Amino acid sequence: MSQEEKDAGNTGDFLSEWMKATSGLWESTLKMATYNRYPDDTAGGGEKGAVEDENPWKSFYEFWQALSTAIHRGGDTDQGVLHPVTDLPLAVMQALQPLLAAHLRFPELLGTGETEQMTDIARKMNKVFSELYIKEFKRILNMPQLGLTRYYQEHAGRALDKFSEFQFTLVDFIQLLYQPMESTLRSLQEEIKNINERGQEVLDDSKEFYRLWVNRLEENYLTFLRSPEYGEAMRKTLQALHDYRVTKEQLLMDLLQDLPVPTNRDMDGVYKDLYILKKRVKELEKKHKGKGYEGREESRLERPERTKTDAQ
Amino acid sequence: MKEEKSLDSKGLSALKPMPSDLILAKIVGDTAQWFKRMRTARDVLLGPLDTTIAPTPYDVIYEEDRVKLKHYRPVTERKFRTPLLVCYAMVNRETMLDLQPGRSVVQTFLDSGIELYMIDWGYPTRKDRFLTIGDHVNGYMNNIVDFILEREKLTSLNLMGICQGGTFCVMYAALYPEKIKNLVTTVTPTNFDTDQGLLNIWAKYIDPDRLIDAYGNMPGDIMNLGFLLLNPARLIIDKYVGFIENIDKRDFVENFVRMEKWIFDSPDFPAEAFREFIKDLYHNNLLIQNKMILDGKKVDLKRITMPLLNIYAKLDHLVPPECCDKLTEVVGSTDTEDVCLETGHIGIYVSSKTQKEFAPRIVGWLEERDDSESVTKSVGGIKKKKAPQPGGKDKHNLKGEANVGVTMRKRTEEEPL
Repeated sequence: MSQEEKDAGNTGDFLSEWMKATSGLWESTLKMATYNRYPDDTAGGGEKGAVEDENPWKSFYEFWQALSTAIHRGGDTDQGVLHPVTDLPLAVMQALQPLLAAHLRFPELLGTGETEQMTDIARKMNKVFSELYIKEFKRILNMPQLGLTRYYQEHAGRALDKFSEFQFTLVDFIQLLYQPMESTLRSLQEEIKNINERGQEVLDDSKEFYRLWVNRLEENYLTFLRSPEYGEAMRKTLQALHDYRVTKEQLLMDLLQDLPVPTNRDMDGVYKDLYILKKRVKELEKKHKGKGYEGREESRLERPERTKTDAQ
Repeated sequence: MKEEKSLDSKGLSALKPMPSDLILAKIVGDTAQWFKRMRTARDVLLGPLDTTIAPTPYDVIYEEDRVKLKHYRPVTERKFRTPLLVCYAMVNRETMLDLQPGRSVVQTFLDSGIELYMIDWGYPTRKDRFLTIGDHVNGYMNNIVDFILEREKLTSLNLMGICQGGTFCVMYAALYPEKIKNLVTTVTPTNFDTDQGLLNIWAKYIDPDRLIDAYGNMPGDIMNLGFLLLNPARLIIDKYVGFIENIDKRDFVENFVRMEKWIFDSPDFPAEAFREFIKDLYHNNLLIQNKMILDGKKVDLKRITMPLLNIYAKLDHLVPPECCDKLTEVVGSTDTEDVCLETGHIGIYVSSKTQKEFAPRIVGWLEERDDSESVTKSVGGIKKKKAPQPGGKDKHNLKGEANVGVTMRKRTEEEPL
């Protein structure tokens, strides 16, 4: 076996292990969902088969399994994710089949009934993936690094970690921002439905309808933007943005240090010196001319005479 | 607007339904109209458009670092002895005061014979990140005021502040009262302890240290994004729907583009000054409590003893009235006046309605307090009154009722324009 084949084999083993681990996660999630939805049924007791058939999480779990299989082909690395670029569309299509079926049962899937807003569902999905990231990937990116280049590896890992966290937070924030839009549409849909039921007729003027929609949207946003929920989401997003930018800055500084390019840190040092020096020069200039804050009384006394002369 | 109100109050059930077989005919009619409009719009957008902003000529007569002092060229005989220095906010640009002919506060001032100076804060770069509020007030502003006083051979000038620039003016007037003859504050936040405005609410969730760490200066684009989120329905959606509806009207398009140019011309805010502004003002509300310290000097609002005109906007979503109307209660001056106009934060300067009310009112108020003998006529339809004497008595209270014995502290609520 050549070294290349060995590497591929190792990567395949790693992927295989990871797939097993994530499948395990989904399986336990499935069990949790089963328990949450049917708390009276003890796991493995009662009519277990019937419960599993009814559980919408099962479709999602099947999707994950199908995706895992399609991408990895059961650990066969020659056919695995590293090689079959041409097979990938087919694999994705195969995998998507159960997902589409699952999508039709989305509200039920999340166990919240038909009235749940799509933004809530999307936020929950984002949360699931975010938690998956924290459990599976974040730990890898934050593994202790060793050796001469340990700091650089650490900076790169952190930057990637914070970037991912920022993306999850930002997606959540944007989905949250969409909530008033959705609730406005839903309330108007209800009204239209009522009108149709009353007279089987529709609105007269689309502009009037738009005005009504935008007015309601404005009201909903004004209420929503004042809520602690929004404030907290904004705080988290800004915090994630900060963390990402700081780590990215650190990584950039690592990259730039071998180039004849000053970093922000270098320039901030220069700017700070410049700021202090300019301030001192200005103070000295003012003292010299007798026009500083301390010398204000003196210059104020001189001016009225000039004003009188000017007036004459 | 009437239709809008009735829709709001009664809901969709108040709308007249229409037979569904008429929908198609209506869509066809609308589509034909739409295509006609788009053809005209194409000519408008591809043709020559005058979207120049800030066209009034001026000279830069003083420069210090990035900060410039503009002196507008007079267009008429000087009628005011005391010049007016306008201090705009560091958020966005002072070009808003001279957006277009016919909607220009600058033009109104010049037409009234005011000698007009304006601070241009420029575009802060990373090297400005260490500049504090004190550096701006005790440094740039003070140097500019000194320069003007030297040039005009005077001991004091009139100072007008706009929004956050007004907050700087209040600080300046408290630190250097001897240099300010009259103070005009417009939509100026001085009381930050309120839940009336979204900015005040959001500020509680903002950690300025982190933002500054992340960006150096506070980016203008991020602040602009925040301003857009204050009212997404209007500022992100309805505004542009309005634009599409009027896209075939050249004047409308020109004015719209001018406003867009101004709105998104947003300089960054120097980091240290931003940190102080959020912490000292939004978080701790130090200014109105006389606890603000600038360069080791306490900003005592009781030292503001010059006449004060405080104008704010009733529909202001950025700086709501509650942020502004406490100032006249805490200053040391006995000649103060609050004016609340029925408009918004930007509309106060640029709306066609307020063109006849806002700037002319300031001109009239300054005219009453100017010692020039050449001032002979009233301006902008404002009724001219005898200039009040320091410590004098005002005969009218808020409701215009006889109220002899009250000092010159007026609070007036304007009728809707």
